[in-house]
Amino acid sequence: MYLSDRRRILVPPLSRRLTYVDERPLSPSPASKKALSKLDSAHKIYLRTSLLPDATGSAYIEHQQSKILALVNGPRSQKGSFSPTAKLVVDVKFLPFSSDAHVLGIQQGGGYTTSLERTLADFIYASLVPSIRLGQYPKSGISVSIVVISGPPVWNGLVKQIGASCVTAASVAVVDAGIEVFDIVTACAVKFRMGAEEQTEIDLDERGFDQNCADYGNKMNIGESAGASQPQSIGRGVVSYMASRDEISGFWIDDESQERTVGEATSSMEGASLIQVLKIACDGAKEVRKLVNAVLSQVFHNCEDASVQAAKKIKIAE
Amino acid sequence: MSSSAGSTPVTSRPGTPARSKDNPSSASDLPTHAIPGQPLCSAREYAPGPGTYFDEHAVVGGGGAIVASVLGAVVVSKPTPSTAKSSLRKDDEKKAAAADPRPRVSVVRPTANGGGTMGAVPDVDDVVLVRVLRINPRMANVAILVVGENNSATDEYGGIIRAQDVRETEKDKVKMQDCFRPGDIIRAQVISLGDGTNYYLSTARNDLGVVFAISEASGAPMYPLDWRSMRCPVSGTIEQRKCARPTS
Repeated sequence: MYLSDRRRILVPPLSRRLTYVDERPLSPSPASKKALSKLDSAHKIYLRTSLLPDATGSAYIEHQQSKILALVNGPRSQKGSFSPTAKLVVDVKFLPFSSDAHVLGIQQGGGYTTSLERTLADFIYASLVPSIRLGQYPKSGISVSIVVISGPPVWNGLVKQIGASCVTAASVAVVDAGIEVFDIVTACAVKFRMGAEEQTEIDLDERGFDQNCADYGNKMNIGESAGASQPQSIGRGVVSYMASRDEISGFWIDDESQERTVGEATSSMEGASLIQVLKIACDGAKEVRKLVNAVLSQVFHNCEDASVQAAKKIKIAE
Repeated sequence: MSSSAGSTPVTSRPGTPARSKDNPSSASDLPTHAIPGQPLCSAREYAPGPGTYFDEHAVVGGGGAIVASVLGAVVVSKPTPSTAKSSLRKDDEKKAAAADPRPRVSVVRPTANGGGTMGAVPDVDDVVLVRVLRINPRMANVAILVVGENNSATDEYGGIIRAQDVRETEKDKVKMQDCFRPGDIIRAQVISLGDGTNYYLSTARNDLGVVFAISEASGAPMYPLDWRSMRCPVSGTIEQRKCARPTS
C-alpha cells in the first residue's frame, strides 16, 4: 500500500501477538468468614451514574460520611508533543467545610490545590491508570475531576475512606463515559492494629482513631490513670482492586497512631500480616464490585427500556 | 435528565452474581449484556471486536478469553463481514477478518445513555469529514469534524493534507489552490497519526475529495462536473476542485 505512515515504524499489518496459555486451573482463594460477616453491614453504598449531561461521564457515591462526585471529560484532542496513548489527568477538590480539613489549613476555599488534594489525586491516578485502555485513544487527553462534597474527619486519619470512595466513583465515571477499560477498579479502606494484623477489619470509623483511644485521651485530661484500654498503634490503608483480573492497582497504607512516646519501640509490619491486610481489603473491594456490577446492569436495562420506548413513540407518531 | 437515565440506589447485595447468566436469545452461552471486565467467551471460538479485548490470563474454557471493555449489549457478527462500507476500511483489516474463521464478538453501548456522548478519536485508515481552515502551496490545514459515523470531540482535532497526498497521479503538479479552498468540506482518509498537533490525511482516491463547496461568485453550494471542477448553479461559473465521486 503506498499510503503508509512514514513518520514512525509500525508493526507488519497482519502480525499478531504471541500468547501463552496457562492450562493450570486457578484455585480460588476462599474469603475469610469473619470478614464476610462484617461486609454485609459495611457496604451500604449509594451509587448513581450519568448525573451531569455536560460531562462525558459522571458518578456520585455515598458511603459512610463520604459524598463524592466524579466527572470524566474526554477523550479530547491534546496539543503539544506526540503521544501514542491518551494522557490521564486526575484532580481532586474538597468543597469548603466538606471535612475538617479546613481546620488543618490544608484546605482553602481558594483556587489552588492543597497537598492533601494532590496526594489523593496521585493515588487515584495510580489506581486508575492500569485499568484504562489508554492505547485506544492516541493523542488525546482524559480528565477526571473529583469533588469531595463531604467526608469524614481527615484530621483523624480517615482520608483513606475518602480515597476508597474516590477511586470507586472515578472508575464508574470512566465506564459511564464509554471509555474502554480493562476492568473496573473498586477500593476498600481497612484499619488494623500494628503488630496484630489478624485484627484487620474494614474501616468504618466515623470519628477517626479508635473510640478507646479517644476515651483514654479524655481520662488523661481529667487526671485519671490509664485504664485497661491502652492506646494501640493503628494503621489504616486503602487498596484499589480490579476484581475480574484479580489485580491490585493501588495501595496506600499509613501508621495513624494518635500519639507516640519518644523512644518507644514501634511495631513493624511483617510480610505475612501485610498479606492479611491486603486480603481483607481485596475481599471488601470485591463486595463493592458486586454492587457496582448490579448498578451498571440496572443502568444498562434502563437505557434499553428508554430506547425501546422512544422507538414506540416514533412508531405511534408515524 | 430523567430518572430513567440510570439511578439505582443499591444497598448491600452480597448474593448478586458478578456475571449475568441470562441468555434467552442467543444460541451460544454468551451473556446478553456485559459489564467492563466481564469475560465473555473463549478466544478459541470467537474473535475480539470493538468494545472487547483479548486477555490471555482470563479463563473461560481455556485459550484465553475475550473480555468486555465497555458497558453494553453483546453482539456477535458473522466471520466474513459483508458490510457495504467495507471498501472504506483498509485492505489489511479485510484480509485479517477474512482469514479469521471465528465469529466476531463486540460490545455495543446503548444509544440512550443519560450522560454526554463521547467524541470519536481518529485512527489510521479512518475516513473522516474535515473543513479546510487555510491553504498554502505545500499543504492544506483542516479541522476534523466527523470520524466514521460519529461526531468528533467537542474541540476539533487538526489535520494536514500535503500536496503530494491530494491525488494519486501527477503528484508534483498539484496546485493546492486549484484543489481546495478554505471553508470546503472534504472527505479524506487518515494516513498517519502525524505529530503532536496534526493528523496527516489523504484524498488520493476517487471517493475522497471535496464533497461540499460554496461558490465564490454567488455563495451558493456548487455541484461537481467532473473530478476536478465544480459549477455554481446560480452564476454558472466553474471553479477548480479535487472532487469526491458522488455517492448515492
